[in-house]
Amino acid sequence: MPETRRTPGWLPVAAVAVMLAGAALTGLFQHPRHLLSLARALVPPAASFADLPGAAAWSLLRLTGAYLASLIFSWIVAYRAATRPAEARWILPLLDVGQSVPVLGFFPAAIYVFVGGLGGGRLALELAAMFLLFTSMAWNIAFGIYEGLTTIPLETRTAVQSLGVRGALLWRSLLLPACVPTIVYNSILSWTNGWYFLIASEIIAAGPVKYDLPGLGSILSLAFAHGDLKLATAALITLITVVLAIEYLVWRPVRAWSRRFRYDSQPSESAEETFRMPDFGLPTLLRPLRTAGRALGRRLPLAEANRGMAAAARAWAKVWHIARWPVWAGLAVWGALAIVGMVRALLPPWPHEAATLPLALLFSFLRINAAYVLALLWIIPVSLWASDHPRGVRVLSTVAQVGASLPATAFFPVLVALLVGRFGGVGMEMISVALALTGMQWYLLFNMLSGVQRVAADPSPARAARLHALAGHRQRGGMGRHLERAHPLRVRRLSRPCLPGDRGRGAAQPRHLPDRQPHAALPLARRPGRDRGGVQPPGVGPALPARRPPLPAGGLKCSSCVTSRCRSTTAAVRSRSWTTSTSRSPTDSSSPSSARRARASRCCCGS
Amino acid sequence: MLLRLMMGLIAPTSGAVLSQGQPLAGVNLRAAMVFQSFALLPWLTVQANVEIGLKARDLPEEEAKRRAAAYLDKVGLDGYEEAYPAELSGGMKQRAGLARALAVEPDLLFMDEPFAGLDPLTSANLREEVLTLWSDHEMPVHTVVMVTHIIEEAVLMADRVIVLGSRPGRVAADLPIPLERPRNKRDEGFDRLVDSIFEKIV
Repeated sequence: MPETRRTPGWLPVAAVAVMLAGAALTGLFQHPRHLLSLARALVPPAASFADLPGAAAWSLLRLTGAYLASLIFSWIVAYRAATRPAEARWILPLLDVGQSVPVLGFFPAAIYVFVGGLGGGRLALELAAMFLLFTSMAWNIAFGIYEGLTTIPLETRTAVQSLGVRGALLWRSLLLPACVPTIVYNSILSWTNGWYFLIASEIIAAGPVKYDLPGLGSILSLAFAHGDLKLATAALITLITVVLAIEYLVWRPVRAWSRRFRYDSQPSESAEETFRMPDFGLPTLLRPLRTAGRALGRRLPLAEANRGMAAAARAWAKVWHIARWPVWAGLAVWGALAIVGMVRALLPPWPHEAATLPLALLFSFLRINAAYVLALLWIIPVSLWASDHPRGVRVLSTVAQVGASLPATAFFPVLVALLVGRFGGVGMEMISVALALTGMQWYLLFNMLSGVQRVAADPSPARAARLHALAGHRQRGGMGRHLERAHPLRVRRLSRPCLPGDRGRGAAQPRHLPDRQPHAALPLARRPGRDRGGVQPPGVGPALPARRPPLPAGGLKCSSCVTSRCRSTTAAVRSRSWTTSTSRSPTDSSSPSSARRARASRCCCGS
Repeated sequence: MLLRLMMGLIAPTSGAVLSQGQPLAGVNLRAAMVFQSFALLPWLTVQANVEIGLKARDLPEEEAKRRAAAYLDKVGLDGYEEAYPAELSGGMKQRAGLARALAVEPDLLFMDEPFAGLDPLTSANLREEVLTLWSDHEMPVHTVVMVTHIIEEAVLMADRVIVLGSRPGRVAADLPIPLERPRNKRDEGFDRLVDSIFEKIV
């Protein structure tokens, strides 16, 4: 019996959720104004070491909120895309675009909706910050759920449906479990993404006004802005501690648990591979809770609820059938108005830095490519090494997780001190590439490791290659080919460099730089502070004047990559829609038996 | 495809699928299916896998448990209720698949190359057991529709063999198998039937 069954890994997650719910409830019972003043007390004009735990808690809370919202959003979107190929045709490219636009690109929307629409209260700012974090987390999870849903083997789906399973039971028994491995894997990525964007999200700048929310991100940028390296280091250490704590307390157990949901799982083998963390007693403490939950679940009239929900869904379908045209018309009018507004904002006179956009686009593209090559240069050898060392994979994935969580801007002052003094303008260029690298390399490493892990489930190809006494370079080539063949998806992801690149780019523009740093050395797309001749407050995001069209610097620049990625996704859609049979495990799809099976089912059924 | 049509999982592009004289609307709840890849859910225990169909039919939990255990016992999987599919051998997985299909007590049983994923010895054993189960009058299953590529298998098990041509899949032949049961591959006439079917395919 695999041990994973006895330590249900979702419990830590549930615990966090319950604690958060508890915190929210206590908040509700207190007077909101009191809560706000409590929060205000947490935003010190000058941060000190004592603020770090509170800041970490606020950041964690914000990330958790954004994560839950991402899960719900992703599930709805991915489910629609997976069940309706017609909708997938536009949902997936949209998700791709959303993923490519850096958080800063959503700034105008966040400010407009939350600060403008809800007033600039603390709650509105928190929501805005959560929304920004959400924009860094959601897309990835949506892709994960889509992947999970579309790779359910046809026979498994047929089997469950043929038993008459529908509604809530279908979700519980097939759809949700099928997505668990990809949700878990992509959630880890999303969280690191969220940490990475913490600085950008916790400082909300609307025109001349700037709000700092209490949190690790704002403390980090505050510390760097004041040149307080001690505080900055402490904040970074806190960040790393929190990331590691989440990795060990949440993701490790959850990952071990999620292994059960793989179609190709072989518990006897994976059991010895799995590195057992001491579970810190958390699952033990929570087991009675789960038992109680199960008992409660048995007493609840689930079947009735299921039927009720089905009836409600039917009623809603009827209402929607009548109401859809007015709704569509309203949306169309609203969209048209929005487009008119945007066009009017886009009409000349343009801000004069607009003329530099094409050149800046080219430079950004070159920088991202440079970073991509650099990243691949070390990641490919490391992954090849890891394919032979399962233990190494684990260490590397922790390293990647921490590395990917560190906000790029955190490295900026260090790099400036190191490079600009020595190389001047070239140094600035190097910084830019390096910052793009911070966002990109971990993403590549994540995906390479994921591929390596899947191959490792196979009889190790590296070992097989050695058995055939291949020469060193032949062996390596064989590995590469194997990786490509067995993991089209992972390889496809590698061809998405502009995501992490963009991610880096959004933050890589040196706008968090205190003003004493040399700005002029780099042909950047936009340098609002300089162009207005004003002094950019230190640590401020792109101050967007209200009439400026919402042109996210990084988002626009990568438009060429965006389209190429869209194309690759649609190609993938074609091969992975609901209607085609795809087997999930790479080992399965490459095995001759499944090919035979595919052939067999074609001719015997006469289709 | 044909099995999925008969199961009511896909609607015919033209024509109709009749069950008991009525056109099928939705999943045929009087039928159950067995698959070549076993199609068990890896995250559920064997027992829970068998119980799914019963839960979908809103059976009380106690009854579902009892019935699932009874059918697992029938296919020879007693003692493996709490095992996960990944811990079972191919033959045992197919037994679990069989128990899952039988547990909903269908009139019709569809088998999609049920023995193709197994080694020869296991598949021979299972073939015998399926025949035994089928001849057991306690079993609710009256009719079994099996898709196979092995002519011997068809002649050994079936009362009636329908040969489908490939592309377009039309009925190429429909012949009864008049051999006495229990059948044996060395029986007189066995080879002759196999040969005649083989000719029809070629």
